[in-house]
Amino acid sequence: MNQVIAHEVDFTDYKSDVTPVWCPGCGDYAVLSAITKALAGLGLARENVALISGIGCSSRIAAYTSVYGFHGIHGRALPIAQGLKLARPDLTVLCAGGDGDGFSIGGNHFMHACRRNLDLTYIVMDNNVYGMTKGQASPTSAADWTESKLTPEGPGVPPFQPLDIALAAGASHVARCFSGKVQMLTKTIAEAIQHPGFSFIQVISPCVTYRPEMRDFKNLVHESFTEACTDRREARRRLIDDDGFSLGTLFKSVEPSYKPSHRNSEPLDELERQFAL
Amino acid sequence: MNSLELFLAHALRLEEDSAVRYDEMADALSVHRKSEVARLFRKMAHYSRLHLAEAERRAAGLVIPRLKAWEYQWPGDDSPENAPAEEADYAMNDRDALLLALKGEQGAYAFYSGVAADTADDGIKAAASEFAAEEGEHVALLEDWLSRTPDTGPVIDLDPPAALA
Amino acid sequence: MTVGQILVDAAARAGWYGLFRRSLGPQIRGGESAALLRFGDRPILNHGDSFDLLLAYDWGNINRFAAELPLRPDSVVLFDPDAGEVPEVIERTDARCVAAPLAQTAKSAPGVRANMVGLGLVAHALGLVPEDLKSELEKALGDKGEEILAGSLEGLRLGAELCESLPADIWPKVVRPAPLAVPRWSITGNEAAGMGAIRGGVRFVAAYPITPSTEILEWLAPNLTRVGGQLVQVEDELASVNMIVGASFGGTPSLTATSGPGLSLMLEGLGMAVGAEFPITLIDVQRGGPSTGIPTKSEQSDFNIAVYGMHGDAPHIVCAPTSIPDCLSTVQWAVSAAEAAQCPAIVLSDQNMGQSRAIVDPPKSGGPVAERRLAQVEDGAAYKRYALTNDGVSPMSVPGMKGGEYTADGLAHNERGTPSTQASDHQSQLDKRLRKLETLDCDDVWAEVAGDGPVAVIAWGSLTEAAREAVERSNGAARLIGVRVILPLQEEAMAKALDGVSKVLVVEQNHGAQFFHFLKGHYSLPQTVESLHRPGPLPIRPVEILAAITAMKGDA
Repeated sequence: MNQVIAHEVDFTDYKSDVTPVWCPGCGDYAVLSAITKALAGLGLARENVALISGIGCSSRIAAYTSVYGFHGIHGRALPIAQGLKLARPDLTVLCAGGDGDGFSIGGNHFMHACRRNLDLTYIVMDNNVYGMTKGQASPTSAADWTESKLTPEGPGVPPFQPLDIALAAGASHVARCFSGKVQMLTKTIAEAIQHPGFSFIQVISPCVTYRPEMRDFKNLVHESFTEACTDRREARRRLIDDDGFSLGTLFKSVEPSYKPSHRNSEPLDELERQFAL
Repeated sequence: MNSLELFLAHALRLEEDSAVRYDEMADALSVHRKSEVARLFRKMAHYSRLHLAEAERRAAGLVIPRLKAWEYQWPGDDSPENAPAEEADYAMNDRDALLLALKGEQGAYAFYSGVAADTADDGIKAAASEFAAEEGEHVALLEDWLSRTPDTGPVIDLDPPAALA
Repeated sequence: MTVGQILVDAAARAGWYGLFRRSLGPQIRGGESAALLRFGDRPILNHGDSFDLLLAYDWGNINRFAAELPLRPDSVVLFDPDAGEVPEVIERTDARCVAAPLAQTAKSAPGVRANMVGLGLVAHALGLVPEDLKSELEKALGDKGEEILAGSLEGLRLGAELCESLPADIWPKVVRPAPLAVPRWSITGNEAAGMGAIRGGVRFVAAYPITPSTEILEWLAPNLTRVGGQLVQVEDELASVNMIVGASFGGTPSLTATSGPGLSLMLEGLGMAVGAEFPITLIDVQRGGPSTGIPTKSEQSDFNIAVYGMHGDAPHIVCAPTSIPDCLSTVQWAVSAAEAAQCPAIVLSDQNMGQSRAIVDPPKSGGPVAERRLAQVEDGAAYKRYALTNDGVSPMSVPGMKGGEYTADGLAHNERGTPSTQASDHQSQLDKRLRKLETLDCDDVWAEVAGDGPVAVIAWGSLTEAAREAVERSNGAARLIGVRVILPLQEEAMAKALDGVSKVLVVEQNHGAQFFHFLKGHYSLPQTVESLHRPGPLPIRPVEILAAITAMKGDA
């Protein structure tokens, strides 16, 4: 948490004047709304917030906000966000992107960001598909999803389990939300920002163009993670019976986040003395 | 809802949220070159702003509490006049758009009527009833508009979605 | 290797300049290895033509690296008769072989090891006295206990005795240099690069270990924290390059170091830093390639990937230190140049410089420090992150600056940073990014130029000093152009340096003559341009360059 602005702001102040390219009906609009409402609710000054994203439909979100943004490269949003947070711990750093960006090409960074546990918030808009390349299977697509030309018989491999992996890798705050429940999403994002550690939120965010059946997810989601547990083993147990539609904050660690080592400020010639014979 | 100020805070938020939501849908459709439907949503945003202005007039001189987004006491998860954006579609026609708007207006009507029915505060009851009546008029207007708008079926686009990345 | 280190530092204390290179086998421990040392009374920055003395403790796997130990008929090979006969590959050189019973001498006293006897022997021959060695020995063995130290000192004494017992005419005439007024530095190229980074203002480093660059990162880890910076070890090279871009976005001068395979992985991050315009510095300590190649041995074969590796039109800075001490100043310059031009700078060092130790005069203090052109922003005014400017540099805001909020983008964009597919935006931003490099001032650093002969020897990186020695020995036939700034192109400076040149010899350590083709493609050169190139790991030596100069002169 950082400086709070003196004057009152509305969530629309956190939106930029760039019009999203997202399809009508896309779940990502709700995520944009939730992020901006969370920032407004927390009263964070725009100049002290940075939103880092990768590549993909949802990663466009950085430019749609009016905070400092970085629309980087595919899969690398988390390293950029972590570099920024390490160099500038005074900033509130958010990172956002899609399931392909975060779990496939960026999967290794995801695990290690969970491990590294810097104080930042990672929001994955999970639509089970690659939208910008015309609807291929993503790591969270079902094994038997046959709608893509690239995998006409289905990807044939079981989907990636974001919450399990985040928990196992050491994430400090783990939640799942649905874009159709925007108030809950807003509150969860605000809590994640305030949580001192690596916070991961999987947001089920329907792709109405390539996964129109996802519109029905609103009938499948249920708020089962009612109270966040602070015991990692207990959180894992709760996932055993998860159908992928349980919403809420699953886990909230009380362990401290990563802090860089203590730093001094010696003059350079002190350093150079080590080379002198 | 125990004070007029708190009620007005909700009304202000509801109307602004609704206007923003309609604008967002208008933007989404105009980006995809669906200007007819976009115009319709833009018009709805305009009506919401008129309501917002009215709520602001009522709030003048009062100290309106500043709530965080998750502190509003909505009956559902979202701001009640918000048209369900997740039901918007690239192929939607005017009638589809009106149906979405109708859901928004019905939500607002239900919210205001609910507050009017539940509150013991006469000031709140009066204001909420008045707002409910106006939303009721909107609902009626939209229903009339719908009756004059034939269902032309989904807008056909022969081209498949394009690759962008 | 420790023995080599002790010898070079002790010799340095006694007033010698020196250079110490290691040649290692592929084993983690106990593999065949050679400590390659050259001493002199003036700065020694290349490995010379051949060795005067080879002290062989054993002949294990000698065939693998005998080629790295060139000997002359008047060279001396001291060998331990207990280690077997002198192998054919050494005999073939006609060098004079003299038996020196190192192992047997070591056995004559308790706690003495043959390596210390050898050290004592060579140190004595160099005119070093026990006092010169004692402090270095204590430094190296201090934590190993009194007994080991005592045994080692005894070994040195026995080695000196053994030296006296050998024929006196095997030693070159050695005059001990005058004592030093100012202490010299003992530094490797990798340490120098690390120090250059700190001097240039780097305060954030993301690290993934890879031979032969790891020592830069290992040196920086504790030393950065001493000056208020930090180093973080990350999961892979993709993370390291992107993390430093993130830190740079936050306003902190940032760097990473790697070798060829890591550079391959970092290309997409470098391209983003070009397109989104962030200064970062990347040091590539080159090794043999392609693929995993020869991790422990030197080559200059990453030239092409450093220059041409990124997709799209991606102007950036590529520079190369010309010697071990120059690793410090070139990295320092690269950091400041990257910051000034808001783009990545790739510094091409190599194993030869990075892992070799030189005794040098202390470099001048000061030098360029990172200075980023910050935007003057005001709240409410639309800030243009990628504003078109005359010199191509768009003043940058950093998070925390109110009114400077923008979204950096690797997509083609307009002046505000909003993604754009419009031809005019693409063209004007490409022009701008090229312009800022064309206007970057490199005049003082672009090359080492020496001599005025008609044959220009154009070299780069660690071969510059070998080329310098060849030019000095050419009796005025040649001149040196040791290119330090590879990109941006320095056409005017090159034309001036080539004034009066009739022929050009391009020298480089790779199989494909990459630098030669680059020069031919981008510079206006005299008609006769020849290439002397060879892949690693055998360094191109001054005598070979001199022979090529002589042959070209003869052609005239």
